[in-house]
Amino acid sequence: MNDIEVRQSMFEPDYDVVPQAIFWRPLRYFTMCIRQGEDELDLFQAASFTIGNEVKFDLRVYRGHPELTVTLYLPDNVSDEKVIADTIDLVVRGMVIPLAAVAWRRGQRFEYGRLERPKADNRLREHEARIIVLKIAAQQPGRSASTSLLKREVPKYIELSAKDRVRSQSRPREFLWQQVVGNVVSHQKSSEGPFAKGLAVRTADGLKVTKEGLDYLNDMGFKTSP
Amino acid sequence: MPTHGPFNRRETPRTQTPAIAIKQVASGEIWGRTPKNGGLGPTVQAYTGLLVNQRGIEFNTEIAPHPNSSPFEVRWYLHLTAGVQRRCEGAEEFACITAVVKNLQP
Repeated sequence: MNDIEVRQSMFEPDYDVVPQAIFWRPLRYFTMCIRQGEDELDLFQAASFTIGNEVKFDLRVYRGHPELTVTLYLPDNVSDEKVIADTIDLVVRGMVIPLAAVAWRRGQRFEYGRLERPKADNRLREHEARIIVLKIAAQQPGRSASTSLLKREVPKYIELSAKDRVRSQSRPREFLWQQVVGNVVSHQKSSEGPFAKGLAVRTADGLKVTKEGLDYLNDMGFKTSP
Repeated sequence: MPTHGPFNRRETPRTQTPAIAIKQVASGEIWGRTPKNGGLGPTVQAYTGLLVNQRGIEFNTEIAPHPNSSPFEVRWYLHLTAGVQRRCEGAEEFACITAVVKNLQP
């Protein structure tokens, strides 16, 4: 489903790193295997990844970074602008990061200390909701999660916009984002959904991630345990 | 000279202690070590923006951060960033920038 395989490395980098992009997503969006670290800047949480034999990168969040952001770091010997741009593209594709979640990337102008939050008209799309739902369920006992649990957990993975928080017209007791999450589970026959693709099976109150579903998540670097 | 900032460093038990903050205010200098993995040599590192409800220091400097900084972080490398000075203590080499420092970790 994705021609790029991202692998999480259990080894800390033996080189220094430089920030090259920022995403509007928390570190847990990318993996649950997170290590604690400290360097000359501050304390941080991090995960290291590889793509093939050549590409190495870290995702980190330092204490002083804004909430629900993660910074992509490349080795400090990667300084060629095209290589940096190509690597960021590779990471975005490999980790299936929505383009709207790219807050900044090397080459874009910026002001120190200022980064505009995602536009108010951004909203959770069903494609991304399908992946988040699988990530949440994969961490639960038996890799199963009820729809209500999924709806409780999703706000920990994405900053919901004003548009997400609009009341659903068809389900007035729910916000739009809750309806999107519910649709992932209830639209069983959707050809793009996790059931048709064999990534999950329906349960009485939600879904269960299959072995294929876990492999799918692992291929984008997401791990639930070391 | 234009000033750059505000920037900040948070209090840590190792690299940004209250004792270091007192020295930074008195000297008007911020020093940075070589990262554990070597990196690009001695480096001063800081967050961008003001320090909100946290202990640490805030500072402004006339020395422009290195271009490989990000919206959240800034760096000044010895030998690579214009205006960065060399300092030594014992056998260790440091990068040093001059700055107007406000101590928020008394």
